[in-house]
Amino acid sequence: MSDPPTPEPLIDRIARRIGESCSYLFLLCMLIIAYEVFARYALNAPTVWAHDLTISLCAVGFLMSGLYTLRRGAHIRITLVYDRLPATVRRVLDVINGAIMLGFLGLLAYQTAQSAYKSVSIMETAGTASRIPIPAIAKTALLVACVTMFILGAVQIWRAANGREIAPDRDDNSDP
Amino acid sequence: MSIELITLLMVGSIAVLLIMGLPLAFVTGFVALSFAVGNFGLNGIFLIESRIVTLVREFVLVAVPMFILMASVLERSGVARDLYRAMHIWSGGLRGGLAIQTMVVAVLMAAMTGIIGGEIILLGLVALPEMLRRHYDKGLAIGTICAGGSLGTMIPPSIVLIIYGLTANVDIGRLFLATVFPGLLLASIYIAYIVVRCQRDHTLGPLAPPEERNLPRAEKFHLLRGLVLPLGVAAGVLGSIYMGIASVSEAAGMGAVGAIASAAVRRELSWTMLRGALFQTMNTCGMLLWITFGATALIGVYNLLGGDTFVKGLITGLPLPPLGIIVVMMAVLMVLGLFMDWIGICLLTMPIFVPVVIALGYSPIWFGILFCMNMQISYLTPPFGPAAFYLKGVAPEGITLGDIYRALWPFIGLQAIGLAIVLFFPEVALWLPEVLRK
Repeated sequence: MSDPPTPEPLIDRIARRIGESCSYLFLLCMLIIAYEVFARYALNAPTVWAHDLTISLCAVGFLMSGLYTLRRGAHIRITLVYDRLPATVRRVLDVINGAIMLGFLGLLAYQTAQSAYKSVSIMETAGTASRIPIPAIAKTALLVACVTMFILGAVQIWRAANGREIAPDRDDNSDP
Repeated sequence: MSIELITLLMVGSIAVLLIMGLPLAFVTGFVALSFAVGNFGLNGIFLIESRIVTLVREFVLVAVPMFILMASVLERSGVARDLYRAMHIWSGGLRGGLAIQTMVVAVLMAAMTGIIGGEIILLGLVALPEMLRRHYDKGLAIGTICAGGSLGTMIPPSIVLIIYGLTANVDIGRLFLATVFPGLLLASIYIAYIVVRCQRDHTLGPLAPPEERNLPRAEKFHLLRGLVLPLGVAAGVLGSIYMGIASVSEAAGMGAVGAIASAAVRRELSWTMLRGALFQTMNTCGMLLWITFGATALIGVYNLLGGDTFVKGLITGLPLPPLGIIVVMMAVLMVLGLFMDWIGICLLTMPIFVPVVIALGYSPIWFGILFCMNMQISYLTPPFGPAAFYLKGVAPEGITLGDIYRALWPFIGLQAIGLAIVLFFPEVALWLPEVLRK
């Protein structure tokens, strides 16, 4: 940690890039909302698809945001007691906490894989006029989010077990 | 397993996992999963998955990233600094004027943002050095910034009220109307406190030297020009929600467009800035949404096991008048607020509390405002007072977390007074939505 800055590990870079790419979905969402409002009031021709498309894009953004926040080590936690423990105990806790997280993500991924497969194979829609397959999109995104978070989480456990920093050089402008 | 035992085990395991430092999102998610699998077998996981998938399909949730994006863009522009300078015109000749000015700026900023972190950081960067330079009392300055900055979630737009509205199934437009006067009430109580303290002790908020009491006309004009657009955007967002022209999500999206346009007009927009704002939005969504997933799964499992009926029976069985029950709920929220973030509290308690509130004959809108005021207190109270942490991050050398918490106590008292007023006089919150929306 007192070493000169090392390059960002590959797995972290991939996680960050995925998160950053998905953040543009929110920008796209904003543009669609602007277009819809314009179309409704200026052209008097509201679209059928804007509402569902916004929901789909945001759903993917929401689900993938967990990976980005995990990469930055920024998920909200209570460190009141944790911070006062000796470093060795903290390391043990990091491993246990990581394992619990993997348990949650793994089981959720196992279930979601089945329902996402079913949902995508019939291109399940929400029964709305746009026929955008929102459930299929959301389930697939949940599966991808769980799997990628699982992989990153496993790497983080490995780092904790070896006494290294879990989420290296995270930039500090987090903000709930 | 009896519901009493389930409740005990759930609360116990949540407490242990939280103390171990596991993020709240995974604490709630894991506990939900364990109880679902324990009671319903592997099929129980389906319950959790379907609750998450149903949640992300809510159109109302679209408002969350849009408001965060709007706030992130405005935070990165010089709007706060200009607003502070512009308010300078009338703050010099009054004792404690700078603190009052800070409070007014906090209210105006709150109308542009729905989250607290950014606002406290901005005020900490802009207002704190200015107050310290003019030899204001450190405690008064810190308290003003933290209490004022926390108003971000009290004055509409408010992410807290969006999540509450979603959880309690209440119209968010009405909530945004109902919170206006309680929010202004809190701000007025703070200002009255500043005025009284500065009048009684002249060292707390000294007068400005005469040469600093006014700004050159050209600068005034310049500042005002840069502020018209962002303030107009805030007014437009709230106006269109209130008048029913746009849904909350659409208004939020247009607000983000407006914020970006204002930054462009102010010549502050750059690709780097926009990217930074988007990444921050992504990170904040990660924190908020994944807690929401976990908590909604947890409460879903708990209620399926009979938890809501159990707690409802417990609460209504109390030998108390209806208002007494509301007071007990407030006390529960306050205790939880010491340790937990507002979003966890909202998602875990409201699905149980709100039906009771309605059964007692009270308005869920009023209760939402009480919840929001309660969370104002939780932002300031140690050990888990986020406001203090945000300010600590940007405070000048020599201001410790201890200094900050000490400074916050009087303001926590003022918040309790505000909460009591709205508790005993619901009209403060309810008259505006009643008049404007029938």
